[in-house]
Amino acid sequence: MNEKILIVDDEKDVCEALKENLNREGYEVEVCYTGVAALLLLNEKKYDLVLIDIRLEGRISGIDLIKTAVDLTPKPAVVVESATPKKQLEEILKKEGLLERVDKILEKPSDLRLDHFNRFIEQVLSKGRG
Amino acid sequence: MYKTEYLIVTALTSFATLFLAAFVFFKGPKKKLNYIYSAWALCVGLWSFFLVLNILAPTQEMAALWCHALHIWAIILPAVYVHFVLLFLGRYEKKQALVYALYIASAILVVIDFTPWFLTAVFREKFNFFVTKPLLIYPIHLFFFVGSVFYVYFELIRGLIHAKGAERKKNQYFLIATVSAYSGGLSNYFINYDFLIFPMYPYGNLGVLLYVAVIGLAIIRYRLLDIEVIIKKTLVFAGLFGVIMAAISIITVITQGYLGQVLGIGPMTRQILSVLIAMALFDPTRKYLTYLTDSYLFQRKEDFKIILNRLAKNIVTILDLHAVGETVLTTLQESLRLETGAVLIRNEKGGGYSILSSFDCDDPRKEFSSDSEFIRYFSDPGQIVNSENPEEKKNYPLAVQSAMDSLKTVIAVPLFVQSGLAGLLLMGKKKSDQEFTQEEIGYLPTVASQTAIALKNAQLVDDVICEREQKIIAQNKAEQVNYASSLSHETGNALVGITSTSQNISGGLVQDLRKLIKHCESKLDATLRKRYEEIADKIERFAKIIEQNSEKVRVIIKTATGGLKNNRSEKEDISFRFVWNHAKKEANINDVRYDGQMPDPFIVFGNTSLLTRVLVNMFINSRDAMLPIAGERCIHLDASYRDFEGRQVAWAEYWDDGPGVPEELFAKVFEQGFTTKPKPQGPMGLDSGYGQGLYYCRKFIEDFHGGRLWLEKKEGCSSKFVFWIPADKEGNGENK
Repeated sequence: MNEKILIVDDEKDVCEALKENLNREGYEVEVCYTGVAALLLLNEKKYDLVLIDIRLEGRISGIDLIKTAVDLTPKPAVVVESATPKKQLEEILKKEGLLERVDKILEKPSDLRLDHFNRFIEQVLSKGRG
Repeated sequence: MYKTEYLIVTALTSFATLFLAAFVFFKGPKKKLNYIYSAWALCVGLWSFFLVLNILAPTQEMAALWCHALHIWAIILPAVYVHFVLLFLGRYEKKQALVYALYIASAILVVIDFTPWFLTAVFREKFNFFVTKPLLIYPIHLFFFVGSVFYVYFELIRGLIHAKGAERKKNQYFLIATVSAYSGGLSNYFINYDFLIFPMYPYGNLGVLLYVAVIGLAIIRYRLLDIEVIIKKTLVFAGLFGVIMAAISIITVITQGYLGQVLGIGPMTRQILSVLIAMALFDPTRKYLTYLTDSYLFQRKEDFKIILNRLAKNIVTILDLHAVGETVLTTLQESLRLETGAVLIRNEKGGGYSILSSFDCDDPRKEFSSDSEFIRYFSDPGQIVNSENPEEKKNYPLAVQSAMDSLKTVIAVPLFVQSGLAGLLLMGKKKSDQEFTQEEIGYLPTVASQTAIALKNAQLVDDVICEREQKIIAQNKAEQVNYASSLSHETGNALVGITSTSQNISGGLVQDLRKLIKHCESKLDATLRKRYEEIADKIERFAKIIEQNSEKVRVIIKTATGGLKNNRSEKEDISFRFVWNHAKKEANINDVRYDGQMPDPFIVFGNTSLLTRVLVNMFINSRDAMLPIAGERCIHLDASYRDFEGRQVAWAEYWDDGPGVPEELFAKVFEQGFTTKPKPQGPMGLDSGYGQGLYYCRKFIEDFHGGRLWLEKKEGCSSKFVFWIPADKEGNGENK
C-alpha cells in the first residue's frame, strides 16, 4: 500500500507542485491550505508523513498543527517547512519544545528543490519504516 | 591767483591737525602709536601753520623767516611718518635702526635749513605771495622727503601683499589714503619751483588734512581697524570742520583788513591779532564739533552696548550648540575687536572641558580636565579673570595664567548654570593693544549668564535630537531587517512554486510525454513522431531554463537580504556579481570605470556584508591611488572558478590603473595601522587612512571565509591583489 502524505501550506502553487511530484514518486498525497482543514483531516485519517508550513495563518497556526501532529498516535513523521531561515525556525521550535519532536526541517526554496526534497522525504519515511 | 583759497585750505589743515595732535595725545598718552601719531600730526600742523604765516607775510624778510620755520617741520615730518607706518605695520622692531638714522638725518637737515644755501623767499606774481625759493642744498631735503614717501609706499605695498582678509583691506585703505595725502603735500614743492598745477594748487593740502583726520580718528575711535568705514565718516567730520574753519578764516582775514585800515595797525601786529582771534574761537569750535561728531562719528561706543545687550537677549533663542558659541564669539570679536576668543564647554558625557568654538586660537582641540587647577579655580562662584590687570594677577594661581596663555586669552568669564560651571568664555587681547575698559568688563557678566543659559538649552536640545536620531536609526534598522525577512519569505514561497513546477514539467510531464510517444510509436508516422519528440525536448529545455533562472533569483535574493540584514556571522550561497555591484554603489566613486569579468552566475559561499566591505575598501584604495592619473581610470577584476588544492574555489584577481604597491610593501600593507595615505582629519571610519582597511580585508577573507588574500606582481602594472574563497559549502568544509 502507498504511504500517505498530508501537505499543509497556504501557498496553493507550492502544494500543487509538491503533490504532483510526490504522486509521481508513488506516494498518496493530500493537500490542504488551512490549519482548520488540516486538523479535521488529521483527526479523521492516518498519515505516514505530515508536511507543515510553520507560517500558516488563520485560527489554527502552523505551531498549533505541529503540536497536534506530534501528539497523534501513532505519530506520523512530522516535517516542518518554511521560507524563514532554518536557524530561526529551529529557535521557534525550541521555544515551543518541539525541536526534538519534529523529524526534519526544510527551508524554502533551496530544500524544496524536487531532487533534494524527494531525498529528504524518502529519508524521513525510511526512518519510520525501520 | 587762488591765494585766498590756498590760505583757507592751509589754515584749515593747520588747525585741524594741531587739534587732532592734542586730542589723540591726551586720549592715550601712554600708547606708542598715539604718541607717534601726535608727533606726526604736530609736524603737519606746525608746518601748515607757518605756511599760513608765510602766505600772509607782507615782507620778504618775514616770509623767509616763516619759510625756514615751516621747513623745520617739513624736514622732521618724513622721519616721524616712517616711524608711524612701521609701528602700524608691526615692523618697527626690525627697522628701528632705519628710524634712528632718519631722525639723525632730519636733525642735520634742520641745521642746514638755517644756512644761507638752503632757501630764501621770493615774491611771485603767479601766486601773489612770497614763496620759498630753493637754493643749492634744498634738493637734499626734497630727495629725503620723496625718498621717505616712496619707502612708506614700499612698506605699505609689502604689508598689503603679505596681509590677508581684513588686515589686507586695512592696509589697502591706508595705502590709498597715504598716496592721496602725499600727492597733496607734494603740491607745495611744485609752488617752490614755480609750477602752478590746478587743482593741486590751491586745494592739494586738503588731502593732507583729510588723511591726518582719518588716521587720527581711526586710532582714537576704532583702533586703526576700520579705515574704510572711517574714511566715509571722516568726510562728515572734515566737511563740518571745513565750514567752520572757513568762517573763522574769513573773520580773521576781514579783521586783519579792518584793523589795518581803521586802526592803522602794522602787518605784524595784525597777524598776531588774527592768530589770537583764531585761538579764541578754537575751543568753542572744538566743543561744537565734538557735539556734532558725537552724534555721527562716535556711534561705535553706542554700538558696543547695543550689540551686547541685543546678544544677551537673543542668544537664548538659539538652539544649536555650535551656533551659540559662534554667535557669542563673532559678536565679541566684532564689537571689541579681539585678536582671539574661545568658548570652553563642559562635556556632558566624557567629563572635562573642551573648546566648543574659537577663532585664532593656537590649539582649538585643547581639553581641560575637571580636576585641573584652571577649571577648579572657576568652580567656586567665580569672578572675571583679567590678566591684563597686574593687580589681579597676584590673586590667581599660575596654572590659570598658563592655561589662558596657552589659548592666547587675557580675560576669562565663567559660565554658570544651576548645576555648576557650564563653561568659560575666553577672550584675547584687543587688536588695538588697548586694555579692556571697566565699562566693557561690566557688560561681560550679563553676556556670560545669558550665554550659559543658551548653552544649557542648546545642549538639552542636542541631547533630545541625538536620542531621537538614534531611535530613528534603530527603527530604520529594524524595519530593514523586517523588510529583508518578509522579502526572503515571500520570494521563497514564490520560488518554490516556480522551481517545483518547472521540475515537475522537466522531470515528470516531459518524461510522461516521452513514454506516451513511445507507447503510440506504431500509430505515428516518422515525421509526426519526430515532431512530438522535438516538442518534448523543447519543453524540457525551457523548463530547465526556468529552473536555472529561479535558482539564480534565489541566490540573488539571499545575497541581497543578507546585505540588508547586515548579518556578519553567517555564510550562504551568494551571488558575487551582486556583491560586486552592491560594493560599487556603497563606494560611491563616480570618476572610475569598473571592469568586472566573472562567470554568470558566479555563486560563492560567503557573507554579503563582509565581502562588500572587502571590495569597498579595495575600491577606495584604488580611487586614492589613481588620483594623480589623468584620463580614464579603471578598476579591474578577473574572477573564475578554479580547482585549488583539491577543491573548487572562487578565484579573483584585482588591480587598478594606479602605480600599484611597491614589492617591498607586499606584506606590510596588510599590517594593522600601516598606511601610505595622509593622516585623516577626523574620524571617518574603517577606510580613511588609519591603516585598518587591508588588515580587515585579510581578516574577512582568510579568518572568516577560510580563503586567502595576498599581493603579487602583475605584468603591465606593478601589483595585483589575488584572493580566493570557497565556491560552495562543501569547499568550505562545513558539510564534510
